[in-house]
Amino acid sequence: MKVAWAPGVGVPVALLAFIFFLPPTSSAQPRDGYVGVEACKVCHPDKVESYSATTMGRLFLRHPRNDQERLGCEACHGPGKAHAEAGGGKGVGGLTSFSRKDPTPVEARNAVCLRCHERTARLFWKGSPHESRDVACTDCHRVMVRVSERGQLARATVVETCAQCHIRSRVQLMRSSHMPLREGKMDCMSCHNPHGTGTEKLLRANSVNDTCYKCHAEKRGPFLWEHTPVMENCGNCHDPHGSNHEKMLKLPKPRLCQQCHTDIGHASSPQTRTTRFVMGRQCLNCHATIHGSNHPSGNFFKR
Amino acid sequence: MGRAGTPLLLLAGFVGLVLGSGRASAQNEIFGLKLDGSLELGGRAFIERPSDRQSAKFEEYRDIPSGLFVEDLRLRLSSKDDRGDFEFRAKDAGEEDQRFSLRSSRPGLYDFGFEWDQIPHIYSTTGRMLGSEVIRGVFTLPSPRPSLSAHNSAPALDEIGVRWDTAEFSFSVSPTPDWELRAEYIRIKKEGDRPMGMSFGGYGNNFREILEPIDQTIHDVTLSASLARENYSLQFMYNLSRFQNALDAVVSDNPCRAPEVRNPTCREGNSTLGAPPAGQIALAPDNLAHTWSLSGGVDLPLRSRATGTLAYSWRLQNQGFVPHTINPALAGNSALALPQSDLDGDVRVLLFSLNAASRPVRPLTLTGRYRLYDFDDRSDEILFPALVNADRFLLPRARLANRFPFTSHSAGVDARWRILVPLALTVGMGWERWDRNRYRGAALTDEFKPKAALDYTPTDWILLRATYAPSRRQVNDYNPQVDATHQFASLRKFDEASRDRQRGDFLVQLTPLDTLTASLTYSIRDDDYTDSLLGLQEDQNWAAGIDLAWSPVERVSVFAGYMREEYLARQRSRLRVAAQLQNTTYDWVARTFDAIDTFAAGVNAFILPGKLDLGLNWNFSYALSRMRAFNPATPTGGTPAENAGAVAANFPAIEDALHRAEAFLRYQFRPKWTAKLQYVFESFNKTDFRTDQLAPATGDDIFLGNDLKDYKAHILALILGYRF
Repeated sequence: MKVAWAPGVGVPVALLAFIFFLPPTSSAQPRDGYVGVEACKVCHPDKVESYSATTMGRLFLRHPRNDQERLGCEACHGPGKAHAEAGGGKGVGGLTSFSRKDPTPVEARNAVCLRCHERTARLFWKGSPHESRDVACTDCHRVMVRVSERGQLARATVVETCAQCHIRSRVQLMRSSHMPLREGKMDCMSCHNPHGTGTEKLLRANSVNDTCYKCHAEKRGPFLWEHTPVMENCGNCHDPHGSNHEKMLKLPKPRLCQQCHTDIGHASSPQTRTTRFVMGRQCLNCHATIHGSNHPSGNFFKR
Repeated sequence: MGRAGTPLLLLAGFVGLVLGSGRASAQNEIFGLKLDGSLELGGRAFIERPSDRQSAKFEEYRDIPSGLFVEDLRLRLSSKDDRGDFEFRAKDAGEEDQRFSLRSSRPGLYDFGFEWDQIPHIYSTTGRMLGSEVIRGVFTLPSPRPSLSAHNSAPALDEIGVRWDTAEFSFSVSPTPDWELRAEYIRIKKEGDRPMGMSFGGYGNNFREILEPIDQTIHDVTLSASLARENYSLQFMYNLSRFQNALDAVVSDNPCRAPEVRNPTCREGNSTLGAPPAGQIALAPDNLAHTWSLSGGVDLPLRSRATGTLAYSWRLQNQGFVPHTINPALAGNSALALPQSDLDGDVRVLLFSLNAASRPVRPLTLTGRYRLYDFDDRSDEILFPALVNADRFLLPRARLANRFPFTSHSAGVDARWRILVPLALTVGMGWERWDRNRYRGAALTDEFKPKAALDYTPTDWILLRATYAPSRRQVNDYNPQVDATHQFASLRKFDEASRDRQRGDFLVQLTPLDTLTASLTYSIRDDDYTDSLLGLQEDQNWAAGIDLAWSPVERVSVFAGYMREEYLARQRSRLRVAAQLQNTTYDWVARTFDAIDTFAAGVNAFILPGKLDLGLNWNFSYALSRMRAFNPATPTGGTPAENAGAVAANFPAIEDALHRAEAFLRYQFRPKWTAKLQYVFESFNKTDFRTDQLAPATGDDIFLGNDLKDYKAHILALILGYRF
């Protein structure tokens, strides 16, 4: 099978070299009602210092690209003149604050972030399950300090961040049959986009199966002989978050297969514990190509 | 390069860079750029190490060698104005699960990344196999065949596993704040073996467990562009995914029969009725998928926003067919001539989704959504005049390889009303339709999904979320696809059956003090398959858990958690034998019950702030699975053997327990130097009657005889950290 390949890595490398040496943008004077970063630093030097070490801080405080970013702290917190002139203090001067206990509505807090971030992964945020339950951006992200290596997360890792609420998903990582999440080779974001998608369960791909095919493309087919529940939804048999049954199956074999198969003989038999249908790989001792077969005589998934 | 080579090379490079930068200036500069980084280098010793035979589960996805190891190495070069940076990272260098990354970025402008990641996946270290594999994927046995008992003393296989090597390049650039262009290429290479069964006939005949040879490559290319303006945003994406399998098929000799020579130690598998000397299984075929998608969002009046996606995929597969059989007694049969050389597989997948959210007045939020997923399988429907059952005998009946296109629609509307400042109520209704073709049991299913949700924050330290979401799936015209020996008319396959679902989720988060957080969660799901006289009838699960985090003093934080989960599935079946196709006393009911308890606890303490800290972590998980079965009535009406075959009995319980404890003490003995003493205990225990002590030769069948062994490990490590 022949395919036309995408451009090689040469193009992005050349672009990278070009962009790296682009001239910096210039700074501008504070606008009316705004006091500028230096004024914030007078009372909040530690906050400004920790913020300047974050990705956003580097951008806003040192290399802003537009007027909004040039506002520094006030780009998110709003104009600070009234706050400064009143001598500061919590809730003074109408600043927008982002702590969980702040009375500013979650929608208003999130709107500040979305001014710049409502694209790519956040395109479907509005109306998404998290947005509709008033989850704040700052429930999962920290802007002022660097807690995680990437993503400015509220916890050190993606899994820990999601586990603040999704406790059950976290404990499933401890199952004997699991994907390598607890080994740090995957995380929740490998399959889900918590900011919203056009797909069920906040999946990044277009369906459950498309999500699995990203790494398990051998199961995509199409096959000559399709096993229809497999083709429709991997989740009919597997629990991707972890299981106490082999291969992350939802039930132990042979009972899993016997939910649907009542053919004459072994499939409809209750079986005894020592038969070949219960030992070893159970039904898969013979039906090895259960995800679909491309063998002309593979209609029973034995070839 | 050997296991020790990579870490030593990295170490030498690190030392060279640090010394070089030190000579250049006291500020750690090199080539006019700022240099910073860190190294964590350690030595590991096992007080008790799992043996090679016990290591399959211990090192399932990881490599934990004793001796010198590089846990983490990070080097970062950045411009003096902090505008751009370049970072190299290595984790577990030189080990089977090593990971390297290279990253360069200029915030807000571009980001380039390269990552190399290895993941071992070990299935077993206790398998045995007789014979040889001189040609990859061809498992031969001597002729005449060895006695079956000889397989019990076959040479041990070193390790059965697959290693995934993943390379990932990504580049994104934002030429202006509203544009982002991104290119990504991922290559996954999988090499190794995994267990696979090969049968040599019907269920009265024999099978042999062999190794499926894995030599597969996945190429995945994604190109995307997104534009975000004040009132609208657009995103275009193209993805190419190609799967290549270096092997087309796997071949194995039949342990019960060599060409013209029966194995006298086999009882059934050596029957002269066409017992094949060897069999062949087709491996996963090469395939290719293109996906194009266009997504967008637009702000509308009344504080509304609409978003949508239109995606179209094209999946192709034209791998040439292998012959029906490699059995020389059948291969020349004219009925087995292939009607065409390949499937000409062609599936078109269309996804369309449209979402809208509106807040016409402040306390009210309205959302609506519609999703269409159309799976249009345009592959050829091939009529085979005859087939071969497992290389053994001809099935002269013509058989059509059907295609199974389907379309699913889902839609829903929700209204959320903030009744009071602390209380918001959401009510909604959803609908899902699956439209399948005539080859399926349920050509059309409709499911209705009402929903009610409550979010309550009576004070700023209490958050309560509750959701109740029942649903009802109705199937009016189920076609059980009955024929003489296959499915019962009263069987309903659970994925297409009528179903009543009750579902609830509850979460309470309490933060009575800034130093104390408690989360309580409870979820329940109860599926009742109302029309399923046979098949899955009930599927229930619930989970309840608590998480606590407390910092009694600033230097100390404590956490603990526990969760109990229970799963129950009840299914009903009926033994069907040749003379007893509809004997209701042959009904049997199976109840499969799983219970899992998971505990976690830990302490983090800064004994001497900035100097000495302590960490303790403990996790324990215990899972119990019971497969119980009984007959509602005493089986009668058949021969004594048939009646006995219908008697259902419980299977022994399956259990596993995973225990992990870790303690560390970290001391900063110089401004740039730390020493960490770490102790880890792990144990795994499993009881599974299906694989424990399974002899390779069991009846006429040959297993690899592999199973996951219990293990216990005590690990001691000393890790030196240097940061500059």
